[in-house]
Formats: sequence, C-alpha cells, structure tokens
Amino acid sequence: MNSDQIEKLLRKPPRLAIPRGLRERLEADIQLPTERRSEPVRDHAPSFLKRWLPALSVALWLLACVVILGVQSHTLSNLRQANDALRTAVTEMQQVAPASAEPELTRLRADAEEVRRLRAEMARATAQLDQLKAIRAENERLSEQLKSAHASASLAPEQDFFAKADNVKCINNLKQVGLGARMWANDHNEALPTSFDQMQNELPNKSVLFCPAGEATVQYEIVSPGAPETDPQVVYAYCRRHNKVVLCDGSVQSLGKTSKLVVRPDGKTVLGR
Amino acid sequence: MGSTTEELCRRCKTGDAEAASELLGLHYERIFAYFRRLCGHEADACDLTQKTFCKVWRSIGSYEGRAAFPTWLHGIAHHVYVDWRRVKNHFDSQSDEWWLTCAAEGPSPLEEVVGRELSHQLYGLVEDLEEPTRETVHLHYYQGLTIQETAEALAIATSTVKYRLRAAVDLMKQKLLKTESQKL
Repeated sequence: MNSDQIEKLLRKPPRLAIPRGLRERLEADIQLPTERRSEPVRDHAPSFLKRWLPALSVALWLLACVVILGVQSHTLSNLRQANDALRTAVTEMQQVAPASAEPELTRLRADAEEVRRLRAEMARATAQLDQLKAIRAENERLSEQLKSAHASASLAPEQDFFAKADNVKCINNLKQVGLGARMWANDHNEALPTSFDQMQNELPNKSVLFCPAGEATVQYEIVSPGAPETDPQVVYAYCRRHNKVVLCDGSVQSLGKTSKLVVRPDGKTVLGR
Repeated sequence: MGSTTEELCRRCKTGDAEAASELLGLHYERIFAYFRRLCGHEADACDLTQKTFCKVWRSIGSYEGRAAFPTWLHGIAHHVYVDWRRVKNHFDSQSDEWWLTCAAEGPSPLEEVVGRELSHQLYGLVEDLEEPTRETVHLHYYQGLTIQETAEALAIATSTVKYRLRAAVDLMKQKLLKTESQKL
C-alpha cells in the first residue's frame, strides 16, 4: 500500500448516524445577538483616517520633499541664468573697454600730471608771495626810515650850516639872558626878574632877548617870573623855535622828544616827562 | 454555497433566527462527526456540538469573513475540544467494533472484505497517532478542510500541517507494511 491509497482511504471516513433530536436541541440553543449589540463591533473597526494615517503621512512627507526639490531646482535655474547673463555682460565689457578706455586713461593721466604740476606751481607762488609780503614790509620799513632820514637831511648844506649857527647863537643868547637875570637877582633878594625890562642894565644889548632864527623877531618867553635863583630845576626862559630852555642856575638845555614843560603847584615851571 | 453561507452569516448578525437555523442545518452534522470521531462517545460529541454552536451564536457578530465560515467554525470546535480534553484529561480511542460498524464503501465483495480490514487497521492507526497529528488528520482528511483551512482552524502554519500529515501517512504506511509482513 502506498501513500496515495492511504490518503484515499482517509478521505472516505466512515459515515456516522446523527442522534435523533440533536438538531432540535441545537436549534433551541440559538440565541443570536441583537443589532444593538453588534454596533460596538462595527465601532471597533479602524476608521479610514486611522487606517490610512501612516500612508498619508509618508505621502505628505514625500510630497513636501518633492515640493522643496522643485523650489530649489527652480531657484537654482534662475541663479544659473542670472550668472550666465552676468558672465556675458562682463565678457562684452572686457571686449569693449580696452579700445575706448585707453585714450581716456591717457587723458586722465595727463590731467593728473597737470594737476600735480599746478599744485607745485601754486606752492611755489605761495612761497614767493610770502617772500614778496616780507620784502614789501621791509620796503615799507626802509621807506619810513628813508623818510625820516630825508626829513632830518632834507635841508641843504647851506641851510644846515645857518641852522646850526642859529642854534648856537640861540644857546648863547639864552646864556646871556640867564647870566643877566642872575646878576639882577643878586641885587634883588635872589629873585629873578619878572620881565626883560627890569634887567635891561644887566644885558649887553636887547638882541639877546630874541631868537636869531628867521627874522629875529621872536622874543624868548619868561615861564617862571620871580623864581628863586637857588632852585636849579625851575625853568626861567624858553625858546619856542629851538625848543630850548634856560634854568634858574643859568644852564641851557634842549628839550628832547620825551621832555616837556610842567607847571608845579607853586606856579613854577620845571622839566618833566 | 459559499455565497449562501456568507449571506446566512450576514443575516445572523442582524438577529435572523431562520438564517441561523439554515446555517445550523448546513454544518452541524460535520461538527458532530468531528467530535464523534475524536471523543469516542456520542453523548460527549452531542455536548461539544452544542457548546460549539452556542459559542458560534455568541461570536457571530465578530465574524468578519476573513476566513471561510467552515474554517472559522472548525476553529471554534477545535478550541472547544481542547478545553474538553483539558478538563477530562483522558483520551478514549474508538473501539474496534465501532469502526467495524462504520461502513466503508467497496466495489466488490472481495475488495470490500479487504478494504474493510484495511480501513479498520488504518482508522485504528489514526487513533494511535499523537494528539496534534491526530487532530490534523481528522480536520484535513475526515472533515475535508484544505491545508490552508486546517492551518487557520488550528492556528498553526501551513508548513506545520503539511509536515504533520506527511509524518502521519509515512508512519501509518510503515506500520501497515510491518503488519502485512508479519501475516506473511
């Protein structure tokens, strides 16, 4: 006996007699669930969303990836186009620039050189201007000196000689006046005369009372009449033309630019600054 | 047939007692025969059949049609039998007289005599198999389930079903050959 025969026999099992009343008993036991009880069973079935949620999430993720890739590729293509356009523009500019820029560059270089030269020239001119200002100031100073020199040396040699003679003669006259006044004071209580008329007898002639310069018509002035002979600082007579004075002690002095006549509170005139 | 069974199941879910009666009439004889061959006692087979269909009516709402209804039904019957075996904790093999009363169809008188004797030996050898293998043989050969349905009813892999069937047939073949050699 082989396996097929065994299997063939096994597939034909002995028939069995069904006990009586079994079906009735089984039918009596039938208790089917109501529809309401079957409802929760349906509720246990997974919802559409719960069943497809994993697939939907994966699909959404893939969709998002695709969208991102699309946006990136679009941006990349735009950037490439812009890059190509810029390269083309740069190439064109490099081709055009050498021809037109060389003369311009040469002109600009010449202009720059000219500007440098002008700046150096201007610096030189400024220095010369400063020198000129200094020379002009020196010139002005020398002109002033020359003017003063000319003022002092403007007289002719002859005039200079006569002026010096008048000056010496004026000094001699003032000494004569001082000596006569002191001689008169010896007789009048050491007080100098108040006018030239009082001391006429003490003078050699009346011409000594006049300054010899010019027409000899200007008479000396008595600035301190009746001054005491013992006070040597008091000025007795004054020559307005030669700016000279005779003091009470009989000496003659020339008033400089810094000296001037000052009247004291007692009414006497002295030399002051 | 299949569509009729599915329609009856759908109606049973809605509480249709007539559909349940029809469904019972289609399947209760096979379930009774399954238990009768396994248990060895008619009364136990009747009780197990009743328990099985009670469970079927309680669980008919959860039947979703993923497996064929006979497969689902034999799965319940298998669990009922396993529970009964666990409680009873014994195994009663069929008596030789019972197997002799069960007629095996044969064409000729001589072949009928030879076939009856062979069938008697073969059914006895089935009862001598180990319990998992014996139940697999019952479901596949006696109850007529396919290998896939048998695997689903027993909740095992189809490869396991094939292995058990092949092992059972080889073992019975060896024993039959040994018996014949002893007779000669």
